[in-house]
Amino acid sequence: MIKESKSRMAFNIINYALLGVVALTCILPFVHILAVSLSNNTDAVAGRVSFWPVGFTTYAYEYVISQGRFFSSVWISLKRVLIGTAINMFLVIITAYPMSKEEKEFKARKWYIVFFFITMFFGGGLIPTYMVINKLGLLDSIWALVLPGAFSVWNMILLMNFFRGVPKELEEAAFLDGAGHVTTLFRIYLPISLPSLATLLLFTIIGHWNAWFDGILYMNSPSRYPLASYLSTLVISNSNKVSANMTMEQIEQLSKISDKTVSSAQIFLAMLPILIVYPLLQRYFMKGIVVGSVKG
Amino acid sequence: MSKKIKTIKKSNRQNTRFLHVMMLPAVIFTCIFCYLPMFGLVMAFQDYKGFLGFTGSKFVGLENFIYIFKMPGFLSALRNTVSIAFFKIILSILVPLVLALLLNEVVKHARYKKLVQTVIFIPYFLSWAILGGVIQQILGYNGSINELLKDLGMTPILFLLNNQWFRPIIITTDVWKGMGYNMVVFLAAITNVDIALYEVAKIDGANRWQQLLNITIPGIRSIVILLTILGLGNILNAGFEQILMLYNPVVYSTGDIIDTFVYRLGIEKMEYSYAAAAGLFKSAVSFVFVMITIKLANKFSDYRVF
Amino acid sequence: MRKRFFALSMVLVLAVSAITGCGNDSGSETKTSEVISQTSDNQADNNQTEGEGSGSSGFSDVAYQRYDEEITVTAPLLLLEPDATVPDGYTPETNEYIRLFKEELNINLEFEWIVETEFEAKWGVTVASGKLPDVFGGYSDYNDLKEQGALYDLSGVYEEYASETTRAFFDSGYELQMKQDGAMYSLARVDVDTYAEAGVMYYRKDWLDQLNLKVPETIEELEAVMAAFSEADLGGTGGAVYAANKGFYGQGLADFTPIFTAYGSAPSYDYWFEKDGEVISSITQDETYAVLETLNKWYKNGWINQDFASIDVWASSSPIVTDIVAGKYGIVPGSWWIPNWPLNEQKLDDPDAEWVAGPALTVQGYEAAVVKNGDDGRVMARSCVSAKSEHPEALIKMMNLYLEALLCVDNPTVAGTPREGWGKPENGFVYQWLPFRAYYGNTLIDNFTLMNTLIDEGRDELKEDEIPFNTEFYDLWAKYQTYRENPDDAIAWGMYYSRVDKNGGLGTMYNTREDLPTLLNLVDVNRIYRSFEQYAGVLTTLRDETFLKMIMGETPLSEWNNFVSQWKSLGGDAIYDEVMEVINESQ
Repeated sequence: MIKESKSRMAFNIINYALLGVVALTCILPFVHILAVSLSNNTDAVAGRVSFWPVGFTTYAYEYVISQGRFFSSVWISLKRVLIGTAINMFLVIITAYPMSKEEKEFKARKWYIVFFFITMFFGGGLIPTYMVINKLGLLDSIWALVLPGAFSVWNMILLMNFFRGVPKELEEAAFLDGAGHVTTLFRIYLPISLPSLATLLLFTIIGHWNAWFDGILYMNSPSRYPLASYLSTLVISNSNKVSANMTMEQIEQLSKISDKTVSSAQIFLAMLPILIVYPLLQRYFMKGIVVGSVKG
Repeated sequence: MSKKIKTIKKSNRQNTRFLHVMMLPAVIFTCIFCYLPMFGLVMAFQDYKGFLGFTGSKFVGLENFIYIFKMPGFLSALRNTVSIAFFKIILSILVPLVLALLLNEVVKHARYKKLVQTVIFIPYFLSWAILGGVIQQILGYNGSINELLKDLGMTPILFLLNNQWFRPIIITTDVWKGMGYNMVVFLAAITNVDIALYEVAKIDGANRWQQLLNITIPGIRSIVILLTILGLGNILNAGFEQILMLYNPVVYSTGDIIDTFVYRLGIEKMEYSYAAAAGLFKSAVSFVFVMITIKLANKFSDYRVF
Repeated sequence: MRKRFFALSMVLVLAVSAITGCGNDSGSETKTSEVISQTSDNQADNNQTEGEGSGSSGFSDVAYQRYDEEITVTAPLLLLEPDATVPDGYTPETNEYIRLFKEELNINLEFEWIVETEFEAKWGVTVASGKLPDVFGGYSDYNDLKEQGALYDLSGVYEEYASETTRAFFDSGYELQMKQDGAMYSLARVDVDTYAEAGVMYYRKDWLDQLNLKVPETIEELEAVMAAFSEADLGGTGGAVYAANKGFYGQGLADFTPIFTAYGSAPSYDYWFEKDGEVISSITQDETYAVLETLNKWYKNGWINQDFASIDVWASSSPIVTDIVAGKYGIVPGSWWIPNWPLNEQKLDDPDAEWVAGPALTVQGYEAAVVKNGDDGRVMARSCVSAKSEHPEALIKMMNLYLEALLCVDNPTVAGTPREGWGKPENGFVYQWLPFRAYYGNTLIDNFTLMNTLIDEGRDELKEDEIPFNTEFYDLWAKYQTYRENPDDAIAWGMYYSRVDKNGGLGTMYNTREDLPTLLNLVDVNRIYRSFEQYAGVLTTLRDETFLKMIMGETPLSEWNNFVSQWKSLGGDAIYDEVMEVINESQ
């Protein structure tokens, strides 16, 4: 091991500090939301909460936990993430593999690229997609949330690039040993590509967990919303409903704006799972996974 | 020996066919959920009325496009869009890249590395509806930044109302919000670089800085180029949700983008045709732009993008 | 409390949108009391003829006739909060009204879908999919649907099936639509109150007292108050005292509406007045320039929050709302309901704070005015039926039954009959979860008048002929009791001050309408102006950008004439032409 030089130490200090500052800016909004969620509501609405709870109370969390809707929407999100991620990963993997082959091995590759690439730019939009989903009878089911985005061209291109980095020799060796495509894919490519797979897994999970608009559009009742859709209904912007004609129920709606601590609690709880999953996946970003040996 | 060659030759043919089979599911999905809805693109050329649908709405040719282009403020919005998007694309590659490289240099304290990695991802999860309010608080006349300025004896700046500041704020906050995403991709790419290369370099006496320059960066070059080129596809997507939250009429001249411009045009009623036309315009321009970039990249580097 | 009132009958009406009437009451009051006596007659009849007719409640009229076979009627639903008295566990599907429709009329009201937000997006894709629900409301595409023949002409089924009560509410809409279209494409109510918002100014009374100031009545006095408030900086803002946001007109909170009113302006592309024999736009009129000049002065003095132009009062977590609740501002402009929110929140936070509503402001050299939109009334809150619907009369029948149910609430004549519990939220009757509404337009004014009568006369009980036609009254009464016992109760105060106090929110709004002359808007609100659709977007953008910059001083006021000619050439003239066309047509 090379001894750490002075300049190296200086670099490390600066590096750590810099990263620390960046991390600090990223965590502060989060801390703020957490602080609001644990504060007394009036203080929160009056803007007195910065990074520490004012008038500490767990009321917001108690309230959220007592609400059936929060948990039922979490359950729906979990289902969506499980099914959706499984389908997405499966499709991405079995598509990236052929696409990573050289032209001479897989001549039609060029056409597939064009075929997929166009869809990255052009799309029918909201209404035609809805009509297709409607015609397929998928409305109001988990499949409307899971199937439309099941194949991500972006992810496929990423994985395809990672696959191309796999040493050719490994593949040839396996091939000579009589391995077919499936075996090669699962025995060689996947184990080597764990970091990239972990990346895509993370993105896919996050994508499904965060998606909210499709929940509202395709589900016929708020009781069937996934979590992100449910949360979106809490962040209200009211300009359309305001006029000189305010009935009592409309005032009620308005004062929901003042339920800051509860909506903060829900936002915090929604972020929590991802913040747990991500560190778990992080070890796949650590160096050191070398499969087999190329020599010989 | 010849038997083996024969087997290999036969399985070669099966090989390719099987590859097509593997492509099939994705192709089917793409046909159904991407290509099939594309019939809706016709909306851009219609005076679309929901009840009349695509078959019944009046065809107006390029009228929607002309209407939008002729509207005062469109050119300015287009300029702003490209300007903002360009910087966002560049910085959203550079900043996460630097972060990933810096994190990679954290060798000893794995926990710190993990923590920083996770934390950097947090802003990605906060919607602009929430972040918008936070940013307005911070940058407001009585917000933290101006408090600091006042303490330092300077006059407060109306950041979100200032045409010099608005764009940098939009660009910076968006890059900040999304940097975790690309950072993860780069981290994964860095991890993929063969350790053996580092071993060899160390034996040759290279220090970490040289390793970084000569191994890490070339090793992830393909991913960086890929993300940049794909990112260029967003050349006309300057961040609708973010700007809608943060902009105001005083900064229209630097901050109004195509999407917010069209949004205001159609806001009096449910006007889909304009949005569809603008969307198609954006798609077409981005597509051509990226195609050109790819062709150039293929020509001038030995790297084939696809 | 409620048992104290001897209610003969009551009609519960609340609306998705409604404007109250003032000064047009006498006519409709008579009509509704007629309705009451008629319906109570009906009920007397029905009680006798129990068993006859099809439903268990004994309706024999064709208006209530049950279908032989169960029919299904689909509708979309925007989910709103139910009354607090509705017990837990009820869902839109288990709404007692749904059960009622099924049992009495054999109508199965099914919700195509239910949303809380993004209604327009959801509606847009539904329409695009080609299958309209049977019953729905009038949304921003009402005119498109009407023109495309998607709506059923309800005039026939209305004439045949509407009950007396239903007619009491919807005849005016029927007449107006028949006059306009020769057909009735929606079951709708006409709002006779077509006043535009004049705005109310609210002041921190304790600050005024502390600084020995009285509530301003003129712009000049207001400026003196602002100067004093700013100097004293009781809110800790560093000088800003007038809460404002980038939506500077017609926002309902934190805008400059009261100032525009004081100068006789209402700067929107759809306000056109007659001045000195000419038809002018409220945007380009001189009075508007005068307002901008004044506001620019105030901004330079630091009296308006310096970053107001970047704040949207209706965004979630709006900084201006936060600051108002934190008690930073002593001058808050808004609509009549502001004490009910957010001022009550501020009072909750700071029980020593006192708020008072000031009278409409006037200014030397200008004529303050309240804008009114024509006398034809405005069609509101439509319910429509799809042209392809198999049973268009189902809507009318459900409306009949719905109103019947409302008449049963706290109605002693139905005690002991199967209809006793009908309509009560406590029994699971949630009217907010119906795709149609009936609204009684005079709710606010009626309650205001009634409450003040009771208070003035020191009474705690209603007389027989005083029964109000809405349940808002009882909530209001309850809150008033709370307020009486404890004037510091912020929530009770908010309700009371906005809706009852003679110089509170509503009180000031009514006083303003009486005190100030009326400026008539020449635009016909019941008509679609093509030029609006075409130019509203670009003209609003131009107005917003110019006005905000002029107030802030970024654009010099001397640019006004340039603005005027630009506004005209970008669409103002086109609108003028169409406005004149319509005016000449109707003459």
